[in-house]
Amino acid sequence: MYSTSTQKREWTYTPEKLAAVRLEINITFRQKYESVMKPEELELFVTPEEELRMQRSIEDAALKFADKFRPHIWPSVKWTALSFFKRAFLVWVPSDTSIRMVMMACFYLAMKIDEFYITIEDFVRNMNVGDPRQNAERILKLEPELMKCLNYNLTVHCPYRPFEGHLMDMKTRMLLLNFDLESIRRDSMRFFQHALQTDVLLLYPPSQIALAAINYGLHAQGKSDEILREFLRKLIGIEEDSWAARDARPEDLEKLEKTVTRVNQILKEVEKQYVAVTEQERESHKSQLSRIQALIPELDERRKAEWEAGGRIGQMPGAVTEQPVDSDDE
Amino acid sequence: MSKIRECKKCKSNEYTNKQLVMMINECGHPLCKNCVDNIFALNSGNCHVCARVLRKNGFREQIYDDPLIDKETFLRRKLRKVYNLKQDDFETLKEFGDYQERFETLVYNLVFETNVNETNAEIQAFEEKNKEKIDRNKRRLDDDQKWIEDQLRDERQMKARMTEHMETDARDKENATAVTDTRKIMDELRDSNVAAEVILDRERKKQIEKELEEKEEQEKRKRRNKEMLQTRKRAAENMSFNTVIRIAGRAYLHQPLELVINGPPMPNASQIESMGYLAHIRNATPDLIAGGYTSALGCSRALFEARIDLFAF
Amino acid sequence: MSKRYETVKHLGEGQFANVYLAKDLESGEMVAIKKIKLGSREEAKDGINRTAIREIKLLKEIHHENIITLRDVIGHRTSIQLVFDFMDTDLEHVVKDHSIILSPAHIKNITMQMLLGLEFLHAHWILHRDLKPNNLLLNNMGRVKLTDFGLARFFGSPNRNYTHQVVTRWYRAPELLYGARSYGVGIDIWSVGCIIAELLLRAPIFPGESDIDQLVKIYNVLGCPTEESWPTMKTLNSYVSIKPDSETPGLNFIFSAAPQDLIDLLIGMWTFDPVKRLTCTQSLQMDYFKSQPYCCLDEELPLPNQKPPKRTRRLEEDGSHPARRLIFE
Repeated sequence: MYSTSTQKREWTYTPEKLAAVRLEINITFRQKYESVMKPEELELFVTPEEELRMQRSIEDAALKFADKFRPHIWPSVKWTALSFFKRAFLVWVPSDTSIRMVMMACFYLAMKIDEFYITIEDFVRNMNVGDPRQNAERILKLEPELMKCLNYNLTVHCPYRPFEGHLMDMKTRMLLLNFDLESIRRDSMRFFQHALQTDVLLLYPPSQIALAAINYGLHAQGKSDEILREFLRKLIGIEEDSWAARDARPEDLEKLEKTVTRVNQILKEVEKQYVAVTEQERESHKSQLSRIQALIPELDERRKAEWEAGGRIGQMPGAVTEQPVDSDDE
Repeated sequence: MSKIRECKKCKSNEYTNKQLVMMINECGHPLCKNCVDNIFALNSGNCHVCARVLRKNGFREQIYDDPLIDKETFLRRKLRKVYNLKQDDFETLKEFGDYQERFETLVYNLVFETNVNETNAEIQAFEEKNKEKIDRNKRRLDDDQKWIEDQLRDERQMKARMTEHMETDARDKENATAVTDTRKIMDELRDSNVAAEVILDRERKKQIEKELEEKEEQEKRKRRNKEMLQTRKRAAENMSFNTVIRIAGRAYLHQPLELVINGPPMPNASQIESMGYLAHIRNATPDLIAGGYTSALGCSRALFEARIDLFAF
Repeated sequence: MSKRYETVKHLGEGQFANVYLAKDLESGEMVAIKKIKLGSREEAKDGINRTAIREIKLLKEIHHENIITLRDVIGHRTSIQLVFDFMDTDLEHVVKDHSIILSPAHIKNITMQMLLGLEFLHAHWILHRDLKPNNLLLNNMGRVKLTDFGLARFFGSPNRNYTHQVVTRWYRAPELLYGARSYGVGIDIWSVGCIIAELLLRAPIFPGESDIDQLVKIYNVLGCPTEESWPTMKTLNSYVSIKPDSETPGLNFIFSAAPQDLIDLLIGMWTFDPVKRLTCTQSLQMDYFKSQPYCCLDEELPLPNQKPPKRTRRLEEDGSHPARRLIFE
């Protein structure tokens, strides 16, 4: 149940809070290495915005991976995996991890969580980069680290079932519609696909995201918000007749307005945040990340040297691994 | 599903006012704290429902959803101050039983406001008649209370013992290291060729390091304690509303679990059928039904999840 | 293990995990730690095993006084450790310890606690799928808690196939024995019925030696399901027609000391057609819980190898009661 879930309690943010968390981990990473970097190396640091773009481009690739995956996976696996991924990078920074491998580990874990049975061999057979045995090893090594980073909050509430619920409610309660409600399904699914590459799943309850998907589908069929309103009036129990509606309880009317506003806010958010990533951009992200990742072992050496020179005060840097150990240049 | 708590006077409810505190007085008509503060600013006033004259300090926070239970609890407590006789105040067990039963009748009368005048008269008469016994019993703890006090005292003593033990331990350790350290440094200063400044400098660094470590340890402890508190708080928040407390020694009337939906009301099983929901879900095949899976089951889970927090903004 | 917890002793070893009794140095409380081994052993070749993942995934979301609390998860390089409430014993030990006398009031209390935990689980769309006496823990406060969520999962999905190889055989419902691929809360309720029977008889009621024998044992007690009582049964995957060995003596004969309202509860829980079987909520609303003898106080429940509790007091029905519960629980 979402309302008492770890998802709501620990992994649902306001947009401001989300930006603050991302800024904070970015700065922490920067501060860790800044003092030992040469001036010309400083340009390797990326901004939180750039990091987010890198995440988006991995997400884009991951959705393609998911659609090609055999045997076919159900949509909730995708949603779960991408939720894990987005949560993980509110703790880890892309510059310090193999972001692509983390995504694969997220999918592997999501399949277990969603009771989709697959062996690690069958899983890595779906990956077209790298040696299968090495891939398997790296995913399995990341699995416990990922779970820890997610604070062992592994249940993800997806909007697909709420979507079916809303659709069923509409079909049952809106008998006078002059079109087939099933016609919105394809567009609604496209909405979910786009929403997966945005932050909405860190911001809103699944029931609201599902309702946004319904409204997106309705818009695509050339319908106005009036259908949504009428549906909500029926759910809340507000009389349709405009005379009777004047007697509606003010809190009910408020609920109606707030829900409509929220739904359109989610639609706008998805539209604003969703950007198709080009191949070119993906490549440039890759090379940018690999440059800083290649430098990190040396930076760690420098930090150690600095610590020794400084009289070994405090804990030796790197004595505790604060970051996942996997990196792309193994 | 869950009944929303609402103040009948000012119409504010749990959603419009997250800090809503409902209060209740002896007549059992709930009022929110804000209204109590307003209406009873002069310490006494009339109940907004039954117009009974109430005092502000008679208001307590409403604990149960059903105001009747609160009223009953209140009256019981009040009445128990008078009806505090113990079994050994009676000659026979039967007399004690009769006394207990009479007490129940009086509570019932007051809660449901039947024969109020007679009841109050009876209580007054009882109080006058048994004044001596009542006063004596007031000063005497009953066995349960004694047991509770014993437990609490034991616990306190245990805690004190543990703290003391830990403190001695820590002190011993500190003394030991301090003594050996100083002696070692003195030895080294005397015997070795290394310049005294170097040795002292090194020792100073060690000292700083140790202090840093301690500080960190302290921080960690603080953080952990905070986490623990939060976990507890969360656990408490997570409990679904189930105001029924299991009570031994009486018939158990089960109230179905009420989950906080925070969305439109959930249709019940018969509504799912009568409203025609099942026409819009694939029919469960006979072999699914034979296993206990019905279309209505899948349907209600989808409807349930579509409602959870739909109105959470 | 970890700085916060100090191992006291090893309690047992399972296929994937070792269980230890430990002391939480911060709170001073005793806890049970389930240490799941990681590494490249054959069982772990697909990574962290699914039963552990299920337990973590579900128990992190669920908080109820009759369900075991997952207090903490500690990640380590070589293991994952799940920290649970320490519980003194389980119902299997209670049933087997013949020095313990279970009164009707005790059984009513245990049944109620079991059902309250399960009702909460079902309301959150979770099936336990492995209820049996040894998965019902009991502590010295007389609190009963459901444990072992290694087979538990969400239910109510139309398109998913579920395995019927769940639930230890003696507690397995007939639809599972017939290979049902989809099921609901009925499978847990069936097990609860079996557990109540075991508390009464002090031995398992349906100790089948194979899946077929299991059905025979059930039918010997309850008679065979008919077209009328379970119209859809023949559509199940591995349905076979089975004749009982003997005349059924009837539940009143088997549970000669049990009151009729308890027999009615069992009949409801052992209804063959899972669609018509009682749910937890319905069970809790049965007359059994409204009739005398009423259920006892939690702290009156007996534990193995222990003198009878010193404190046996009737509840005084004054308003101070809820507060008192808060202090002790």
